[in-house]
Amino acid sequence: MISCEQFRDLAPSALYHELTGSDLDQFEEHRRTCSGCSALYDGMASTVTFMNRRRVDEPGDAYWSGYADRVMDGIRKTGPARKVIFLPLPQRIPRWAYGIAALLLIAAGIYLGRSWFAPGNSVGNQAASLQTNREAPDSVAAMVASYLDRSKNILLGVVNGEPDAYSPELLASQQRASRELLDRGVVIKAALNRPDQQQLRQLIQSLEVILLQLANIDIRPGVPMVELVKDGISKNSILLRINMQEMKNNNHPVRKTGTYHSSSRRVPL
Amino acid sequence: MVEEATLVHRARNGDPDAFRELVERSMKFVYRLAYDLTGNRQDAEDLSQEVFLKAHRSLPSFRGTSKWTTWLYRITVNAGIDARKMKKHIVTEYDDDSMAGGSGQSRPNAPDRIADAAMIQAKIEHALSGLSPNERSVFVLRHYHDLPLRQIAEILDVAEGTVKSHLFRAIQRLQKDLAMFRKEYGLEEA
Repeated sequence: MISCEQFRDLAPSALYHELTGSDLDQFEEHRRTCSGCSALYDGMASTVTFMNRRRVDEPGDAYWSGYADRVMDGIRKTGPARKVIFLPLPQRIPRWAYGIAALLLIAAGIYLGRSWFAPGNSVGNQAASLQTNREAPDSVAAMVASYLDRSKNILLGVVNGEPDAYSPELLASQQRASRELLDRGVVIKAALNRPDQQQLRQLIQSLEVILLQLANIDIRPGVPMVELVKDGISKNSILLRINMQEMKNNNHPVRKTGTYHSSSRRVPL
Repeated sequence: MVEEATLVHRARNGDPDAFRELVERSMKFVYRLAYDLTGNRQDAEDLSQEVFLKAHRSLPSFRGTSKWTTWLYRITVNAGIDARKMKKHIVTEYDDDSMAGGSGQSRPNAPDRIADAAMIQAKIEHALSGLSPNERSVFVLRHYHDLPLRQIAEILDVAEGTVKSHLFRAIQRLQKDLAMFRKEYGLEEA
């Protein structure tokens, strides 16, 4: 006979008639003999039945007749879907090649880290020049907008991608873009030096962590590395924060930044 | 009728008519799920349209190993969770007073005054809004969309056991929140 804990594990499946065979028999047997579990189950069953009283406010036919047109119009306004460019790679890549690629990535990471953080480095100088250049707030705003937009597209691809269909080609494409954005992030962060830009700086820092993870992962059977990245995106509410930032920017597009544009702003449909 | 897989293939290759056909085939279930996740028509309309824009944008990453509908379910759930977080954030930041009213919905009154269908509806929506995003997603997918637990696990990209525990907790919470109907409608105490 199953325990009360096992009964609770099976209860959701039983409620929706997904239990069969011996699981169902054991469940019913426990229910007959344990008054506490029986009451628990009856309560859940009556709650679920009560939830059928809910009604959905459905739009009328007029709404549906123009629906697809409005969606297609919105798509035209936001631009075409971004195509992922696949590089011609051999059909079968040997396992050792992944190992070498991982080593190269680590070496590149060390090299880039030393280049960025060493005093007098070129990226640092570039950032410093942006920081001191008070004539170019528009270019900073445009860089931020482009950075957030591209990051969002990559992260959407990760979040909405199918777990089983993550090909080396797709990952390679996302990793190239991530590395490029990591480079840009350093420059942008250095240029965001006002107190009111702290939130944006923090967002870019969070994005850097995710992009760095994405840039360095490897696809191995049974190891859901991409899931770790997805988890990071979800836990840090990255997409939400990008949306919030874009909303904030869209509220003051011209006054503050002059030439600010974001292709991912909400399209009225 | 053209097969869904064919339409998806054509849409991925930039055929707008194919994508339009996919929209027409799936707009009602996407709206319905959006409504179940948001609890009101205006948000559901906005969310469902946003889902198709996101789907179009993410088409290059759709490899066709899962069904188009499963993929759309996933996008809708993710968008619903994001929208809910954003709404909560905005309400917290700009309109603290409105929180007292439960996101603008009717506040629960004494049990004996809640008798008509509209009030029951409001109370059910209020109870649903008290669930966590994951609990709500699992509950509506299982209860209102009749999806098996295994498919829900696939959509949410989590283990089936996780789906079961979310569902268990969701029902327990609903039961507690709807306890005022215990006598009238035979709900047992959680």
